[in-house]
Amino acid sequence: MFLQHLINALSVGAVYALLAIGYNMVYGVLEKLNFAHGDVYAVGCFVTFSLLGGMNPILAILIGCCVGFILNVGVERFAYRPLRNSGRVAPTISAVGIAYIMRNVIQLIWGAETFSFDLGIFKAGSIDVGGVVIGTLQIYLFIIAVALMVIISLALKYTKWGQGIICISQNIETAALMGIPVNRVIAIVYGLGAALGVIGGLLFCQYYQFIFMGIGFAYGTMKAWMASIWGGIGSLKGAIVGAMVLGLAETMVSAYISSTYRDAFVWAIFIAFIIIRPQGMFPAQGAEKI
Amino acid sequence: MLLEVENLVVKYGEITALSNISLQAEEGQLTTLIGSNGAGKTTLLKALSGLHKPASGRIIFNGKDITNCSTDQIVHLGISHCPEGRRVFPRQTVHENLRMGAFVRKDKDVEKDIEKYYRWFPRLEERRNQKAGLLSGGEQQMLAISRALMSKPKLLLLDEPSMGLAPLVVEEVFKIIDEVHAEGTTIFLVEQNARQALKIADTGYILEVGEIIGHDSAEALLNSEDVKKAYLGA
Repeated sequence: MFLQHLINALSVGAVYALLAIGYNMVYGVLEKLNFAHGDVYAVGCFVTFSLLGGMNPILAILIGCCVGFILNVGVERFAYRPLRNSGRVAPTISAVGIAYIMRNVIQLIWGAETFSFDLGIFKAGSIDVGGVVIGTLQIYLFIIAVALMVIISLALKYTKWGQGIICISQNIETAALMGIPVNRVIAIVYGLGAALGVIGGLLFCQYYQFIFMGIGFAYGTMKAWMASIWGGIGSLKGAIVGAMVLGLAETMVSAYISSTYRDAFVWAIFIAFIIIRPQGMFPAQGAEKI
Repeated sequence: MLLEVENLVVKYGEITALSNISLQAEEGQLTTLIGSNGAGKTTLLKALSGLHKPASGRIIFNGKDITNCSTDQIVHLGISHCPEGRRVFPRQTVHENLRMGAFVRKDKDVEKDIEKYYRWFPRLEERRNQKAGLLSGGEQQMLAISRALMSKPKLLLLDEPSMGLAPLVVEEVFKIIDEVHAEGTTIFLVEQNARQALKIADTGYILEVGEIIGHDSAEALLNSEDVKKAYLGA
């Protein structure tokens, strides 16, 4: 049974990791807490949801990603950029405001009820590996999440623009002095973070087979944020490991303690952890910043 | 004239940091701007590279008005600014830092040029895969200068390259600047270390609380009694 739970934890963790990476990329460039992350990508998820019946699901997913991208580019331009040099509090509040606006947009268009959700691209089924039953969906989720993570880390490490993003996350002014068009790159990172969030959000909905207006904040922003803090905010490796730990904590608490009060227990564990190690498991080497 | 600054005024909010600055830098020359701490030297460089927009006045580079250009446009046009305090990217390796210096280049010779700077600074080559944040101050300065040169600039702006370095390392850094100049790069050097700067410069300006108060050949400034008293500690 334990092995079974571990497999579940891995696939949930992989989906959280996708959400956390998007969140962390965006956090990394400006070091601003982005409490609107989940609600912005939730709009993209709902767009995909609406399109699902009438077109190829892959196309519907791509359109949802584009909506997330464009929306977050706009949010960055009009709600964050004017506040870039206003310390940490103002942009955080601005992000919370955007989160509420996005959620209300969803409520206005799609309503507040919970819909059943299926992308229709994953064949149901399971395979039996020595007594441990693994759902094929879990395998797909894990593979998609890991593939995207690998692509992103390789792109950041080995492409010129990826390295440019890393420069910006260390020092915006100096990055500009290299000739990097920082404002454009920051906008694109916000867009990509949201597009990635749309994919993570859709996989999340697929896993639990529902979608409702609250997926962005409670299941997106808060989980991504928690995973990032757990792993060490601003670091890609930290986000992945933190997400896995979060998936593990949730699955094990549900299995062995209480599934009803899962979130309370997981938050308690989380708070205890950050009191002991506030910098997270693998903090970005901010201490080296000059 | 490669660089012409005309009646430049730069403000931070209500405070005027630079009032009515006019100066020039001739192609192929090493022009230095000396002045004490807080005179506005760094502010001037930030205005030249578009990091801080001037309130009024004009900056003409290579015949083009760049006063309202963005920093990345200015880098594309051929100005490279090596900032105060070196500002290497600490989480990236020495090699990655050098590659970032060539961000605006589209030619295939980037790696070849990196090798060239490795020949200049063997210590950088030894540390090519180390994180730049782990280098000593002198090594970081060499990396910062090489990185700034990687864009193949027409004009190199250097902001206090001697700051915070041990005297022997300062000698070394000035020797390097002299060599870069000898290779044909036009340099605009901002320094508190007036004696060292004037020794390698062709011409010099003196900046005092936001105003240019003197301009002459470097040699003349080195021998001027006023300059000696105020800036050379003689």
